[in-house]
Amino acid sequence: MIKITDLEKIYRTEEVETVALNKMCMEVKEHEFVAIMGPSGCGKSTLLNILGMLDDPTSGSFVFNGAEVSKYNENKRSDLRKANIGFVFQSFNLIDELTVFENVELPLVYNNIKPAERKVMVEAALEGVQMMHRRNHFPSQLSGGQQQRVAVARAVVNNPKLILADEPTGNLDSKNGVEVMQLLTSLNEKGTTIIMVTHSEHDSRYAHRIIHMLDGKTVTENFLKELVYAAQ
Amino acid sequence: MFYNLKIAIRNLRSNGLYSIINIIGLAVSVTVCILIALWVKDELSFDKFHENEKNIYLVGTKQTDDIYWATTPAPMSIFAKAEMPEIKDYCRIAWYDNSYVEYNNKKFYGNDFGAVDSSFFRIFDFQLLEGNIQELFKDAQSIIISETKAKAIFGEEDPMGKLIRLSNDISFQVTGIMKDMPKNSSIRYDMLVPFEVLNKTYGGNGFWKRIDDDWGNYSYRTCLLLQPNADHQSVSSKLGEMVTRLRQEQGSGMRMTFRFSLQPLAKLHLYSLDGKPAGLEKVYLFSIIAVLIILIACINYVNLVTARSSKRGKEIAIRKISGAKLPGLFRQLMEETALLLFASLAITIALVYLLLPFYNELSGKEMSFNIFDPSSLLIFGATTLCVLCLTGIYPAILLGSFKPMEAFGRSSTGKNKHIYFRKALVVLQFTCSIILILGTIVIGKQLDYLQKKNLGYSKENIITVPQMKMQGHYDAVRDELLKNKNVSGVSVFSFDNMTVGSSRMGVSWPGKDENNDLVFHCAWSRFEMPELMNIPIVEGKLPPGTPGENYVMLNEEAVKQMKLENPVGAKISLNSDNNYVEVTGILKDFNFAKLNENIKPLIISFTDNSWGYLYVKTTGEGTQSVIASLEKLWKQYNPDYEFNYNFMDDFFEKTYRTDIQTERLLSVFSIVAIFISCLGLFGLVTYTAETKTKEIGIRKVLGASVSNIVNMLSKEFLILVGIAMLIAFPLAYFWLDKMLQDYAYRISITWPVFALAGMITLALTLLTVSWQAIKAATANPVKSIKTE
Repeated sequence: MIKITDLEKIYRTEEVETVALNKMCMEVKEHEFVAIMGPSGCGKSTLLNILGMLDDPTSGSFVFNGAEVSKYNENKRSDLRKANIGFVFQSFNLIDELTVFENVELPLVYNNIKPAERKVMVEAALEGVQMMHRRNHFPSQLSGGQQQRVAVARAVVNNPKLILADEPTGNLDSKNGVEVMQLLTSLNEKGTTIIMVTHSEHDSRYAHRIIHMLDGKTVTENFLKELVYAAQ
Repeated sequence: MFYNLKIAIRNLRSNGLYSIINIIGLAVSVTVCILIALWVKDELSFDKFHENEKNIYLVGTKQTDDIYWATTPAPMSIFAKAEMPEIKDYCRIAWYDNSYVEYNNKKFYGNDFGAVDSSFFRIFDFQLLEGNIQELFKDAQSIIISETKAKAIFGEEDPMGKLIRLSNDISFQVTGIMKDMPKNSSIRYDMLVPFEVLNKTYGGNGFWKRIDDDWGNYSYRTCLLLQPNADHQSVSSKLGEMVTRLRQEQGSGMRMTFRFSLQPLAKLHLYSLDGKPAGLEKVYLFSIIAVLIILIACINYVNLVTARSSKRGKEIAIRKISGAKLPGLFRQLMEETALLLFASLAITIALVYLLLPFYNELSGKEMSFNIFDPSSLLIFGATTLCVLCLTGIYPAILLGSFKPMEAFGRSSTGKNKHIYFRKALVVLQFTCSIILILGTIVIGKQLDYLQKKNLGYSKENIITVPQMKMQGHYDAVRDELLKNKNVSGVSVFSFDNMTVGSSRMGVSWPGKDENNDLVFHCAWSRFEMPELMNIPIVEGKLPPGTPGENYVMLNEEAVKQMKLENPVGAKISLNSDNNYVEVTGILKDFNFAKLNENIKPLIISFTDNSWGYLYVKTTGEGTQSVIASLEKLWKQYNPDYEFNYNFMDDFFEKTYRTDIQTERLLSVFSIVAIFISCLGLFGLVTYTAETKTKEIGIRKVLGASVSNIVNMLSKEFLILVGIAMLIAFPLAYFWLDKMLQDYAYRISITWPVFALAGMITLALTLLTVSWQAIKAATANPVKSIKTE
């Protein structure tokens, strides 16, 4: 489903050039559940943003569903994103002024789906995360776990093929964290590909496979262990 | 104090864009406000500099309930003073017809001569620089000249006692120098001669032997100085009774009742003779506009400060926790406002000085502004204080009243309960702006309508010149002019620009109702006039033979109001005596007054020797050669006068000068109003985009396109502007409809006007909002989402 080759992302300011991704290669197949791990600043979030087509790479190839998308313009990427990708963020990123229902409805609105149809889809998504009873509440009236469940509902409401999750449990206590991870797992079992950035060993165990990153590259687990050993 | 100042400067700097918006908005609005205040001050100051200002009255002759003359017969005031103890003094004023002054064989043109009674300087406070007030007019050959004219004529010489020759061949001795009459005086002359000078046209074979006996000529202004506490109403009715009595005693045979009105001199400029506050309405209008524009700028400030209060909240909370008391905080915030205000006032002062010359041109005045002049300082200080109160108090109270913990909470959620107040203020701003825009459009359309209106005659290619001494040589003049192949016709009409400035009562006709006191406008002309001006004769024909005093023509309105069934051939008497003239034809109605008035009854006489203006129609080509022919004739007949001609096409500009000025000023003011409103809107949308950065980011991640985001940000403001329109339209309709009622011929205010105003406002709003909205919408969502 996703294949990236020699992907580079370089941030330039007047004084410094920061290499966030350094000729990174990676492949994710359909229905996979992949966790990306690595220390802060290793390029995880940059990678996730590029995979989510929120950002474009400096060079390299990014093939999504067989199409080379690294040179797509904003509009094309936006269309592709709308149709295929759902996002779950560490800080939930719900809109305070909108109700739970309206928050979940948002991607459907931008996909030009008719109101009647939207209602059915939103309700299904909310049922899925057991938040139907809170549909008319505002985000500020919910607990963190509940907010993240709403965010997950929003991510899946238009049945995306891929969900990108950026530390989905980072702001949650362990009980709520487990609930959210179970939710993602069940989505994966129904066929959604999931790529999740996490710091948590515990969470990474839900994934089929873990990609370790260091200094903008994928590295093997053994390589990391050697590094740790050397440091000691 | 310095601590606060330091913090305030830092705050202004760190909020660069918002500070600039506020400073520009306030500077522009205070500038406009001061310019308007100068205008208002000038309008209100007219004729107020006389010590006797409250007791000086101008006598008007009341023709009918709605026709007044500002003039009276000359003898009236002499009799009135003798009879009425309430009258302390009187002064008659008349325009003295004279072309130039000659001194040392040099001619000086372009002077205004006034013929006045010797009481002039006792009643009015015009300053005499040289000369003895007791014997200014020791004989009829005395003249008083203004400082400027004295300099122009005599240079460095001492003018006192010098002899100057006037164009009508009389030598006058300079007996006084007066300071130039102020610009804000309704009475303004460069030179004054004794009233008795006017006697020179009397004597000989005329009916009246002296000007002081002439009850028939209503050409003279009469000013009365009443005793303090005298009742001017009773004086005016006594005047009426007196004149009616005297005229009957003189056996004039007229059973006419004379009526007069006394208008306070101080009201002369702003009120018309019938008491309508015509000028004052404009003063009110502009004052209101000044207040509205200041209000709009103040709203900008309040809106931006309160919108951003959540950001300030944290600072205030920490200050409170650290022990700051409310008065101290209040003072700090007020000082911040004051600092911003002073920054904008510096710009204001520069702008006022810079714009004043253009403003004077626009408004046709000569106003001056000197920041150190007490009255300017007062205007400036009062405006500043008002603005400081309007802008400072509410935000200071609002910010000062934050509860510390609430303020912390506020800054984290970014919520703000003052949002409705702010929205209401935006609606108010745009309501004002839209009303002003509508005003500009409607008045502009009305003027356009007046300009294009068919007046009932064709004014194209007509040049007019006063006949002066060509009078009596009409045939020779006409024949000479017609030799020029570019001249297609010549005629004479008693007044310039087809206006009629003369009227008479006491006309009688067969079947006239005794109680009918119809007033007729009267004009004199030559036979060629109807054809020259394309005024159709609807009934009858031109008088036969050569022009004489036995025939007249009427206009349709006269026939209608006289209720004449067979007008052609009817005999009417112009003076209620037994001299009848015959009506030979009826002219189609044409407009001979400003279009504020309906067409009135008109009598046109045709005399061989009529004074008035020569009307020359050109073929549309060779205008210069026609003017050259005219000038040649002028030099032949009027060698002592300056040659001045007038194109009738320019008439509109002259007649409606004040209306045109109002329209121009109004359009400038509405541009300023909408500019400041949009400036505020720009600030608000910038702020909204700033606070919604994260929301915009989320929406974009979820698939919102740039246009989705721009819509989202603009919609809110467009709705506010829409509400403003709903409020503004009926208010503007009410106001403008009332204003248009002053015109007998007016446009009706129809929906395209509103559509145009609406479209202009919406377009400007969109333009203002979209720039920031697009900027926000195209921002990288990855960065936006990280903003916490």
